[in-house]
Amino acid sequence: MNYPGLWFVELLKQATGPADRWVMVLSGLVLIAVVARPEMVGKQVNIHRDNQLLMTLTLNSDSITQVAGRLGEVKVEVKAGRARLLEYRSQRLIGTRTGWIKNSGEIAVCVPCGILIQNNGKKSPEKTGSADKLYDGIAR
Amino acid sequence: MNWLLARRGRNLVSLISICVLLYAAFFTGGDSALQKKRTTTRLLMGTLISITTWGVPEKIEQQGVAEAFAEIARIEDLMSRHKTDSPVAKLNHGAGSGQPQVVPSELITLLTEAQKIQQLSQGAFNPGLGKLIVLWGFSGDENVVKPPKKAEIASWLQSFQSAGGIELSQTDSTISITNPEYGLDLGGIAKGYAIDRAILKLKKSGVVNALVNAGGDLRGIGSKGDASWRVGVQHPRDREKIVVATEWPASPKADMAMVTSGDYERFFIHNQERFHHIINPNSGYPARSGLLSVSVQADSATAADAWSTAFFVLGEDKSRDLLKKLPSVEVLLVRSDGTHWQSDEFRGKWLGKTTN
Repeated sequence: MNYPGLWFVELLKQATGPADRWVMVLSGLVLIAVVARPEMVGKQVNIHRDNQLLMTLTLNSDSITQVAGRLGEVKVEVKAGRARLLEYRSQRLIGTRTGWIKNSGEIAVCVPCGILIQNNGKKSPEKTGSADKLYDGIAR
Repeated sequence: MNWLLARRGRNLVSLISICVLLYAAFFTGGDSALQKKRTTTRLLMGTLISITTWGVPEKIEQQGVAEAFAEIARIEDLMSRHKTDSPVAKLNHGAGSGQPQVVPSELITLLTEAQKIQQLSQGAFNPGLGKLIVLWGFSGDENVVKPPKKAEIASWLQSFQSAGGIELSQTDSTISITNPEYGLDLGGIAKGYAIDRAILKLKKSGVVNALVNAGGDLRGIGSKGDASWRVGVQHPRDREKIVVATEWPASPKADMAMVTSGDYERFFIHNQERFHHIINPNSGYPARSGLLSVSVQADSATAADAWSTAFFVLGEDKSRDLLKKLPSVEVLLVRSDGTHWQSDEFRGKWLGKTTN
């Protein structure tokens, strides 16, 4: 039976020795490992108050968590693998402008409440966000 | 013929395999390069402060960053007017009594610097506006919806301008506030000072490449290996956009600060008019100088912080005149119509016209 492509296997047999085949197998495995690397979107969010870790929430299930901030309750909503600060009545709440955070290293913060949430995945922050992708810092 | 084909094929297979391995090495190498860059973030001085280092051994980095944050926290305790135990809060509590209060000499040194800038800017920068800022509601955490009454501002202005202000004594290390309407507020300079002190701590710990970012006020030292620190200036009307891209000199001795003041960070709209937090000390109202934002580059964040406020209040013409006397200060002005002007030595490439 003639299978298309068999000629290529035959050619490879002729063209390679045992050492070449080992190199090919090794390269193939490395390539698979690199290409199939999981997308390192963070799976957890850390909640800090006054720079102290209060708790860690999973992003795998939707939830609303109330946290005691300096000025009162602050709600942290987790939905569809993302997190955000819900309560923001003050003009100083950076969290209000940040909205949802999804990627590792991203932060939303309620300054007067002293509450900071950060996606704690391993991906570097400089690979996430929009402008943050290109810049080490934003002057504002 | 077969032998020749086999040999060519073997070369090709080896070549492909090597390419695959190089590709993989590039990928993993890229990741380890990223790991050289570390960022630590804290909430201090009422804002988000991050310290990014590059290529620093982990132990040195951790020690340096911890000391830098501890220093920023110390300055907050010293200079915050919201912390009732701080020397600044105590001074404000006794405002008008004229009683000299002993304070850390560091506070007098910084206030001396502030007064120098106040004098050079003809009062456009003034560290005594605390009570006016409270009157406007920009001091608290609740949203402001309308401006104070005109009579209230006029009354404050009259009292503020008619009486004395603040007196410093370096020999006794004392400060006295002689005017009850004088409210010491170092909001226009303390953050810059904290950045400078943090940089000093980092340097002392052996951290040579670092970028300190305190709520958008920055100072960088060193570089990212062969690459420069890359800093963007935010669009005054769209926080997702960047209007200027700056690359700070990539050199072990590189050291530069940049601070931006604008009418967009804290403001409210009342009767379709924008009221922002940068108050003109001479009018008592938010500065209307025809500018949306001012970015200042200088050797120190302390100077950049104070000058960015002063230039915003002064407007373009007066700022450009004053710049001739300030050789180590560079500035970028974004006008209300979205156009810009930047001084000759300002490091940064304008990316496009803004829209108001």
